[in-house]
Amino acid sequence: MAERLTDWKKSLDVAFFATRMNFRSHLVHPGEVVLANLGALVQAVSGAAVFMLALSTTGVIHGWTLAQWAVLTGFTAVARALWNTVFFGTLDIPDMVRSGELDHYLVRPANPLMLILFSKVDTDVWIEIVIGLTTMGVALHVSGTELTAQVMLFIPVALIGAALVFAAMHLAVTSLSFWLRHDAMLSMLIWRLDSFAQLPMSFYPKWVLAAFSTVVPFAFVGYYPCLYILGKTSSPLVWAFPLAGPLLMIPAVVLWRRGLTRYSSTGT
Amino acid sequence: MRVHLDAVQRSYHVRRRPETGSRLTRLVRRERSEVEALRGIDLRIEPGESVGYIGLNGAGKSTTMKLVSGILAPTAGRVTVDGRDPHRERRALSADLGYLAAQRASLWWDLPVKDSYELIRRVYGIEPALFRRRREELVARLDIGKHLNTPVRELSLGNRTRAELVGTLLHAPRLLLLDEPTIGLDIFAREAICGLLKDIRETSAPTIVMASHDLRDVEAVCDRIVMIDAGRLVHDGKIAELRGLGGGTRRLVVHHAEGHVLPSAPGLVPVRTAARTVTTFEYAQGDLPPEILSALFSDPLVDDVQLEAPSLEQLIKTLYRKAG
Repeated sequence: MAERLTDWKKSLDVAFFATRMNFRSHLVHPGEVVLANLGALVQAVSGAAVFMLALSTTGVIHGWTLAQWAVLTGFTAVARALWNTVFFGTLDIPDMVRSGELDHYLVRPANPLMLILFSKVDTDVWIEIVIGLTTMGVALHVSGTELTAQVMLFIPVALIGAALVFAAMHLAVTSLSFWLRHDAMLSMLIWRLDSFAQLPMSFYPKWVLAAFSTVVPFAFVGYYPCLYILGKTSSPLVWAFPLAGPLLMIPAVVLWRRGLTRYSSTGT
Repeated sequence: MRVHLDAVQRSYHVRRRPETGSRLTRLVRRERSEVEALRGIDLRIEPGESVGYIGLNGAGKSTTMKLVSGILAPTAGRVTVDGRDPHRERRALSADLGYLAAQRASLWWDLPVKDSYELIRRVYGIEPALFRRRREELVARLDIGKHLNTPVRELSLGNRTRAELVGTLLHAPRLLLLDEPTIGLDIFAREAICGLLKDIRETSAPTIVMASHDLRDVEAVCDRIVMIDAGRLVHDGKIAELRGLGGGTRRLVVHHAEGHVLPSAPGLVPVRTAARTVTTFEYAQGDLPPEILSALFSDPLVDDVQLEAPSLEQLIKTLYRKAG
């Protein structure tokens, strides 16, 4: 137990240092950072502007007002940005497997997945977090949602859970690269599919909702948590939804570990 | 550390586009086949030994390195490092392992060299004062002090390899696996690296396995040579023993005036060459009559006389020809 605690302490120390170093390395090229942030700002602001405009209308689609939809969009954007902050490096796993670059993560006395995670950070996500939180805050106000203490507590817990759902799905898919040498298209498909998480699932036929709750569980990212935040359900079971993220991480990490045993480390 | 390989085999599955069939078939279908990288390797490396692991491209050198480091698991047979399975106990064993594959960066590409070293310090849990002392020694030895603040990606190949070697040695590994550490380097970088490795071998005696194409480097650092060809071991012995395998054949090379007729002697076999002013003979070691040498040295039409032992490269070529 003491050994495991020391191991975790060391992993955290390495993680914080690697993250700090990564930010510093990005700042070596401030021009690139400014451009990347500007791009992210334009994208986030334009998306938010459309919603702000739409909020002035009072239309209801499948039981969701546009303001409620904006809450879902803001919530999902923040969850996605949180995932990006920590798990951005997992997107490089297929390339590492193909090129054999994974080798040098495997010969260190540290968890290779942790080393991959903290070797790369995305520096422009803070804009997405700020815009997402602003969109969510404004939309919650406009939609007239009652922000009880439970809801205020639920939001951060659900955001972490949602970020882990994203992380689990992307880790599972990128880990398939140990079996499929060309899984880039699958990663891209998941990447594209996650935009569906921003839409209320009641828009879709029941079988699509079932698919988004099981096969590609994007419904757990924003839809189910927002049902509770927006007062569309009062079931105490909603508190179990944030557990979907950690639970989904278990098979994803198992798949990653299985994949490591199949790693063939091409070339010299 | 003690490294044992017992009947180790390792194969890879590859998928190739079929050579026959319709255009659509060739576009969509992939044929699966198996490539045998290692075909039953038995090897014993004792603690403190330094072994040059040589072989042609694709012979299985890197695969062996990856099996010993625990990156790969064998398809059949057994690999142990100090009696432990390196694939199953990779993390535990990696604390004592230094692995350098020169064609791949192991330092963090975007970070300045010194930050990469600090990250290594934290990953290996090296005590700060000890880390500083080792870093200063190694950096001074390989003369990369002025590059410590440069991001790794901006270094030349020579400086990057030096920086990588420092990173590999910072935690004082007891097993050093070096895969082509001097490939593509100039003479100064190679000398610096080989000199450092030789010193480390003499002072702290880690087990060293060095895969290389360059036999000069192997000779400078190692005292034992293991040769591998198409996944099979073809030679394993001391460098001195390898020299003995040359059959004792030596060469006598004489530079002389054009058209000059040289004296002959029994056992001295002329070797056909195109040069008119150079004549080469082969003879068995110990069979060169001393009177021939005195005659050559006193001959005014002879400019130079050279006695040559076969180079390590020639001996290895001979071994490969015998093997296959």
